[in-house]
Formats: sequence, C-alpha cells, structure tokens
Amino acid sequence: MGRNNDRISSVQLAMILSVSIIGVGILSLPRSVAEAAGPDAWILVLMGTLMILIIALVISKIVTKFQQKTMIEFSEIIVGKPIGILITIGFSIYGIIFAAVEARLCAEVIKEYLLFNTPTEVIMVTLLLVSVYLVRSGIEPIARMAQIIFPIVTIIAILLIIPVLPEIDWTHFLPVLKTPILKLIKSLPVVILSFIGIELALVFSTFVIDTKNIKKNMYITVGLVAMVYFFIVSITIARFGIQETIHITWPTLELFKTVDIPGAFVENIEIFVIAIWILSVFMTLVSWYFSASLTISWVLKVKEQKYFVLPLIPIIYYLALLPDNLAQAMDYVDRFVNYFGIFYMIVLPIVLLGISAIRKGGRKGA
Amino acid sequence: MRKLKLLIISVMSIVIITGCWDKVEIDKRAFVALIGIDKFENNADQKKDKKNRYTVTIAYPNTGVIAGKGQGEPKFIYTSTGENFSDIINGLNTRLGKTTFFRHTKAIILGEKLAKDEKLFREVLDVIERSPELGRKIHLIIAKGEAKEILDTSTKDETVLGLFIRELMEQTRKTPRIADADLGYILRSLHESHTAITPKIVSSKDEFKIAGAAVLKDFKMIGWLGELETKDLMFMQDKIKSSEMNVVKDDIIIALRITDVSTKMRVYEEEGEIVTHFDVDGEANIQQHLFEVRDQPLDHEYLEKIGNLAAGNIKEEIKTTYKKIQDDYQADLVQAGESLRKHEPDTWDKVKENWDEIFPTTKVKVDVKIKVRRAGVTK
Repeated sequence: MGRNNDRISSVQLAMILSVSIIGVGILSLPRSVAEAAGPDAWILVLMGTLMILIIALVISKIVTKFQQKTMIEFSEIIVGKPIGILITIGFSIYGIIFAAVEARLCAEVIKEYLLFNTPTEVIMVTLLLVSVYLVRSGIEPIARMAQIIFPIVTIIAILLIIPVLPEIDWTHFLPVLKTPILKLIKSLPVVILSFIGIELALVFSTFVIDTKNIKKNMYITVGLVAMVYFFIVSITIARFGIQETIHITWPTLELFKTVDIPGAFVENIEIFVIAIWILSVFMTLVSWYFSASLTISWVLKVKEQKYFVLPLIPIIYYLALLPDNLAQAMDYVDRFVNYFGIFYMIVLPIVLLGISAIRKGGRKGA
Repeated sequence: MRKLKLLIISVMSIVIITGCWDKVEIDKRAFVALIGIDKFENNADQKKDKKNRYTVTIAYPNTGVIAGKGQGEPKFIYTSTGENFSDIINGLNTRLGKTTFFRHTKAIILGEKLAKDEKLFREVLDVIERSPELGRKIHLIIAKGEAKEILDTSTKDETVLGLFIRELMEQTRKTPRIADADLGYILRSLHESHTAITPKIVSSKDEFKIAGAAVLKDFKMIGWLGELETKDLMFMQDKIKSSEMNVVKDDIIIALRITDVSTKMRVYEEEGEIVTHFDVDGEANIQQHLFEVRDQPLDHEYLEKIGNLAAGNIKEEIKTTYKKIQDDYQADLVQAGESLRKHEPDTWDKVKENWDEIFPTTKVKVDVKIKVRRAGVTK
C-alpha cells in the first residue's frame, strides 16, 4: 500500500483542532461559566474568545515562521537543544495525561447515562483500542475522520436543541454587567482553558502543505468553536437559570433531558446527544494520543510514530484509572492539565515567539 | 502462521463480540409509567428491624396487551416498602422477574403525608433529580391522601395510568385550574426561591381528577390552593392559555372565554415599599348571552363594558389570591424575588437577606385589560 499520509491541508488542520477542542469540557462548560460570572456568562465567553484569538495568532506566527519544521526542530533552533527536547518530552507527557483524562471522563458519562452495568474499565479499553487503530494510521486518516465528524456533531446538536427553544427565558441573563469587571477578568481562565487543544497546532502544523493559510484557518477554528460554546452556554443558562445550571453536573446533557417533542414517539434524546458527543470525545482522545506518540518518536529520532502507539495504552489506561471518582478526576484535571495547558497554550508560544523575534533582530544588527 | 492468526481472531471474537453487560431484552423490561411514593406509616405492622420509611407503588403496562397481541391484565401494579427509594426498586426487581426501566416514566405521585415530611420529601426530590433516567418533563403531582390509592384506581378509559395523567396534564391548555408545573419548573423554582407549586390529584373509585395545586415551601408541602386560586396564580405566572369567566350585567349572566392572555410582572420599590405590579392583557369571546336579547352583543360600547367588568373581576381575584399567598403561606410563589434580582439588582441587594419577611408585606397592583373580540354567530 502506497501510503502518502503525512500531508494535510490547513482546512483539515482547522477541522482536527475544532474536534479536539470540543471534548469532555463542553458538558460542564455552562456550569463553570455560570459559577464564574453568573448572568454575565455570555460576556465571559466573548472575552475568552478574544484572548484565544490572540493566542491563535501567536501560535500561527510561530508555525508559519518555521515552515514544516517539527516542534522539536523549531524549539531546538530557538532555545537550544536540551530545552527543546525537554519541551517536547513535556508535550508527550501532557498528551498522555490528557488522553487519560478524556478516556476516564468519557467512560464516566457513558456509565452514568447509558451502560449502567458495564465496568468503567471495559468502556475505557474499548474506546482506547478503537483509537489505537486510528492513531496508528497517521495524520491523514485522522484529518479525514475529523472532516467527517465535525459537521455531523455540530449539525445534529443544533437540530436537537431546536425543541428546547420555546421554553427558554432570556431574562435569566439579567442583570447585565453587574459582575465586577475584576471578577470577570479573574475568571477568564475558565473559558480560555475550555479551548485547550489549540496548542496541538504546534505539533500538527508540521504536516500542513499550505502554511500561508494556517493563520486564517486557526481563526476559523476559534470562531467555530466559540460559536458552539456560545450557543450551548446561552441556551443552557436561558433554560435553567443560573442557580440550577450551577447545581447540575453536566448541564449540557441535562438540557436535552428537558426536550419532549409533543406527541412524538421520540423520547430521551439525550441518548442521541451522548452518541454524537462520544464521536467528538473520541476525536479529542485520538488527537492527544497521536500527538503523544508523535512527539515521543521525535525525541527518540524514530521515523515511524506507530511503534509507540500500543505501548502507550497501558500507561494511559493506568493513569485513567488513578482517580477514585469523578470528583477526584476533575480535581486532577484542575491540578495537572490546567498547569500544562497554560504553559503550552499561553506561555510557551509567547516565549518562543518573543525569543525568536529578538534573535532575528540581533542577527540583523550583527 | 496463517492458522494461528485465524485462531487468534476467532478466539478474540468470542471474547469481544458476545459480551454485553447491559443487554435487556425488550420483553424483560418493565416500562414503569407511573410511580407513587408514600410515607410508611403502619407502625403496628413494623417488625423488629423498624427500617421501613417509604411505600413505593409502581405501575407498568402489559406491553403485549397494549400492542393488541398478548392477553391478560392491561397493567401491573406492585407495591413494596423499604428504607429508601432505590432499595425498594431493587427489591421489586426480584419480584417482577423484569428490569424496571424509568426512561418512559410519565409522572410521579407523592402522598400528602410524605410531602409534609421535610426530610423524606427532600430525599425523594434528590432521588428524582439525581436519576439519569428520569427526565425533567415528567409531572410531579401531590395526591390528596395516599399516592397508592391513585395508582389503584382503575380508569375506564385509558389503561396506562401514566399516559392518562399526561393527557390530563395536557388539559392545562384548556383550563387553568390545573397547575401548569412540570418537574423542571418545580426543581428550578425550589432551587431559586425555595417555593413552588405542584399539581394536586384526587381520586375516587374509578376516576381521578387533577385540579388545584399544592404549595411547597422550604422543601415541604404547607397547604393547598383551590382550583380558582390556582387559576389566579396561573394568571400571575403568565401560564394561562385560556380561561373561563362569568360576568353579570343587567341580570344577564354572560359566559366569557378569555384567550391570548399575557401577564407582565414588574416588581419595584416605591416610597420604601416593594410593589408587585401585574399587567394582564387578554382577549375574550362571548360564549353565552341570553336568548332573544337583541342588539346588545354587537354594540361596541356594550362589549367594552363587558370587557371592563371581566377585567375588574380578574383584578379582584388576583389581588385576593395574592393576599392569601402572602398571609397564609408567606411563600413567594409568583417569583417576585427573582424578578427583583433580575430587573432591580440594587433593590434586591437591600432586601435579599430577609426576603421571606419582606414578601408578605409587599403591595400588589393589578392592571387588567380585556378586549371582547368576538360575540359568536348570533347578533
């Protein structure tokens, strides 16, 4: 089989990033935003989106500057070999932990709503084994999968939300702007961290053919995801009100439990929602898994990434089983993933861009 | 090598494909349509363990009979007692030989005594809210008397009680005497203001009736609202779709049908007092006048007067009911506090600490406009 599977277009990159960003976070996003900003949740989402646009700009500047270079190559060029290797190793650890988190939370939701008797372990192993199949095939099949899944997920989700619309009450967003601005700014990380996954562009853009379009397509990614988030957050809060949104573990799913198509045979549509949501989580898992195995292969200077895919399974599986329950799992997310996330999403791109700009300036002077 | 591969694949498929923990065949599922929960009271029967606290009754249809293929009873009713809800359901499963399945549950009926017991009621509310199976569209109804009696009622018309109750609740479109309150509203309202209303159900031998409402405050039932008071409350909550009303003019009783009602509630502070202002707008059709009284119903000024009379009636009724809610229950059923929080956040900050005491002292103002649009097909 002639496999020419290491090239994707920048549109495909945007699709991969979109499905990677929309993961387990979307189920609890309305709750965390409502907790942080009360009735001004929608403002918080807009503010967060603006910040993410800046981050997208920084990341795309870096990856277009070092066209088709891998993450390890350009970070070695900018900050030297040892630190470059360290950054890449860090990213693979980050990818492994994130894949574990996705697997565990996904299994928790499936167990809560769909498969009451199936052990969590079995749900996770099935999910992981399927993703191994896709991860081993490389970037192009992943990109194609993302292209198929993204429209399915968003279109079905929006269609299923329509029956909720008659019962929403926009007054839940009153009073407007009564939250202190300082508090809004302090809770910005809630929204920013829900965009975790955009830093995958640092890894994946090495495969992109048309590098000049990366910036545009990253904006498109942020725009699409922000639209989905804004839509979900505003509808959920308008339906439940602030108090109850805060009270529910997964408000987005609960939203669909309020749907009751009058006179229709269809009930319990939250099950359909979980089904399409699993597709989205699956893609998130695949992206992180792939980035982990890919960065390991770069560090070890091995040409094929697929040798590392299967050996990673036990590690991800073990990490996913570590938390005792959902509460602890979410605690771990806050502790590890958020620190890693802020580093790779905000700190690293800005530092790399800053240093490379200074160096270039220095060279010109010399 | 090839054989080994084949062997591995076939062994794997035996392991992987066959297993399914959650498979329950459809004829082994009991689609519980209606749940009744009562407080366990019969202390004389209580054995040594003394742990029974609830009596739970479930009703599910015989799916075979419904489909017109099977035979036997059209519905099954089981009752069991236990310490908490999930215990009882698990206990029931051992008696049914089927798996209870709650995704199609239409209504939950609570006994009056249970609803008056704060601890038990809060437990039940939590079970319902926490359950991933029970949706927010089901109806939570409080029975006058015992919930079990309602489930034991054998109705003449519709055999699946849950569906029947749901159909009765659909009648909220036609009459406002049924409190229009589903589980989603009740939970939200309880979280928001610690008060809510639920529909009330009363049974007699072979029928039951849903009318009126139960008033919940601080997570227990504190009283009933009559049918007419429920109607007024529905006016205040802007949940009226249509309503009936009689007006007396020149000794003629005129029956009106009020439609297209919309109520705007405003809560504001005026001279140190909180005022709740209801602005009701509606249309009316004349349903009955008097035979051989000519020319009156088609006279614009006459119709205007009728409209004003109707408006006056509604205004008085709303005021009376509002007072009753204030005096008897001290419960903010109209969600005036919530409205204050949304529209007048500054005032709300002042009163939110002791809103429970302030609400009974609020003033009420009502403006009603009823326009008589149609007078039927006779002049």
